[in-house]
Amino acid sequence: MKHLEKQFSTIASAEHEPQSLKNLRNSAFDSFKKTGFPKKNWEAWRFTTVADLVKTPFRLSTEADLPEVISKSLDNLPFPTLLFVNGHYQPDESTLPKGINVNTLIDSYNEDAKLVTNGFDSGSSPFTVLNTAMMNSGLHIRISEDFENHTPIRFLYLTTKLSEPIMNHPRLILDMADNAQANIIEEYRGDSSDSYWNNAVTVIRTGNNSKVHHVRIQNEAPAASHLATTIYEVLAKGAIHGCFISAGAALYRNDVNVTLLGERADVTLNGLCLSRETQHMDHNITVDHTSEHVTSRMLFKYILAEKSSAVFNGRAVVRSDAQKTDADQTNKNLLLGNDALMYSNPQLEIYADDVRCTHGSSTGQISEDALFYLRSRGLDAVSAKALLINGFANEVVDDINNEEIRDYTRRLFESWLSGVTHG
Amino acid sequence: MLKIKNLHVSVEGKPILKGLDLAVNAGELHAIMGPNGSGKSTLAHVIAGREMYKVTDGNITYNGKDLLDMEPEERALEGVFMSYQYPAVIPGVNLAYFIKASVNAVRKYRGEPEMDAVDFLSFIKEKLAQVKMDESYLKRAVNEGFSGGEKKRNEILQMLTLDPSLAVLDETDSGLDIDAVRIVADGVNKFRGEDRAVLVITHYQRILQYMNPDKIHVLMDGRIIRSGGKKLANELEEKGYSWLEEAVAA
Repeated sequence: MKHLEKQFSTIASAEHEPQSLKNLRNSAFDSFKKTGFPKKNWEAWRFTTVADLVKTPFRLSTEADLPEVISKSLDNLPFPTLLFVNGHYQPDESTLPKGINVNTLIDSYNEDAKLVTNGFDSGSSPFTVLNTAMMNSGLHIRISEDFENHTPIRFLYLTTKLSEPIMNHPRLILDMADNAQANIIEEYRGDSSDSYWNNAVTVIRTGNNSKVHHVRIQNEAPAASHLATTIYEVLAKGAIHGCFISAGAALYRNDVNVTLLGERADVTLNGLCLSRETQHMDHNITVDHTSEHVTSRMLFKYILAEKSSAVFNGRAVVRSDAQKTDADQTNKNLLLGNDALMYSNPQLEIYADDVRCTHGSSTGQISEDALFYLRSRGLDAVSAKALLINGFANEVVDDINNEEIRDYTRRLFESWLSGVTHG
Repeated sequence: MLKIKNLHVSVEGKPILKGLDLAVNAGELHAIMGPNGSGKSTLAHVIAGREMYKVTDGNITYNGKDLLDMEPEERALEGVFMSYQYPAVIPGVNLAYFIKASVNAVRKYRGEPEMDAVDFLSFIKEKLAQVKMDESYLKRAVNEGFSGGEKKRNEILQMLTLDPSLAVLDETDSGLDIDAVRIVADGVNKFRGEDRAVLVITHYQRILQYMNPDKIHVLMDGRIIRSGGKKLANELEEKGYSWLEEAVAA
């Protein structure tokens, strides 16, 4: 904590920030200090330890951490990309699609503090609070009704090789106008073989009748820690289709908080969580149904290889005003390693009487019957196993609406799979 | 083509097959009949190579090669096909993808060029028609939500596409209505040929009415206790298995 306090003091003394923002940071940091890092005896953190994170003296990234050359051609993907390198937004290396409005967090904060701070309640994870105190990177994006470009917009967070462990607390806020539509990719990647820490907060707020497809790809370097908070607020007839793909980092945790605020608001939360070696991954999800005729679908699939471990905590809350809610929650897990460990805890909290809610969870290994069936049709054991794992993941991948993102995700999955099945 | 000698097989330490002898030549169709628990399915699984069935004695040769020494996929590539009584469901993998992967695995093994998507489509359409399945099945996950009859037709479809030399049909007729039995039997009859052999394992003689078996064997308590022609099936239908049981005991 001492180390973190020192880091905080560097950001709290930044000259260009308004006093009210400094006050916000200070009160958030005080609040974080009071709770401290999560402990084993906290219900929401029973199976996830942040001990390594606490031990490591992470330094806030500065402009000096930018590499000399930033490769423009990171990949050959056709997505307009807003690029962040080691936490720093690179407007010169970014392609902005027409029709979106991009602001720095400070500009938006000066315009209206709520734009940057709204949606965080007191029940937030300590890491969300810490992000408020330390946010050192990020953008506020507005997408208007006129934005008709269905090309996906990508936010790419890249961490390069560095000489000491750095941390970043990025915050990305997306405000959708009424009737606006967008395809968003939020992607994290790392080249560093050393430890680094991203503590990211992403907020997507829909207008009435606006639709967002959000694919979040966590593919950090193996030694990284990736802590995240994802906040969705959905207004009347609005819809967010979220897909959480995760394959990287030593430690990954995402607190996903969805509030369905208006009538007929709809959310889909899909997840494909791929872990191996000693990786640990954790989704802690709450979907709060607060209005009539709202719908939510949750499908989280985990594939755990080797000695990895993972957590699914999914909670659907249906408020007394949320009559006619229709909510499904499914968690399916495939254990590839005998030492892999999965904790699954789907929960329903229902305070309305006229609702339809289902939940289910299953954890198993590859079916011997299915494996033999495929082998007896001429497929070798490795290909047969890969085909079955592919089949397990397909349900999530196939549900990505945009073909380019779907193919991109499939390639990522297949490269993970070939790493696991070929040792 | 298939020679089984003195085959002893145990499942979880329990002896199921206790000295089975059988020889099936190319061009022939043999039927193995027997009551529940006689070891019929065990025989089918041992030929296909399921590991949980332990061969404790005896041997099986297929085209002169030691079948028991081959991995399950090797057997398939060498031309051994098994139609399952309870085919596995493969969620998330569509039928077209699966059959194409199997067909190409076999073609590659035989040194033939792999089929591309266009060739495969015209190839599979013709086979689908033979078992009266429409093209919509190609996009469905393998056996997921298939009725009993659909699963069995799907097995016959795979038999027709993989072009094996030896087909072992394990209770392919069980649980089917008469129309489905005819479709399955038609598929088998189309499949038959001079250099192919078929082993039909069944509880009932019904499906044999639509085929022309060269030999019928009765399997009881892990041994073949009688072999004969088509007449034997009719006798079994009239008198039941208990008749033979008594005859053997006497």
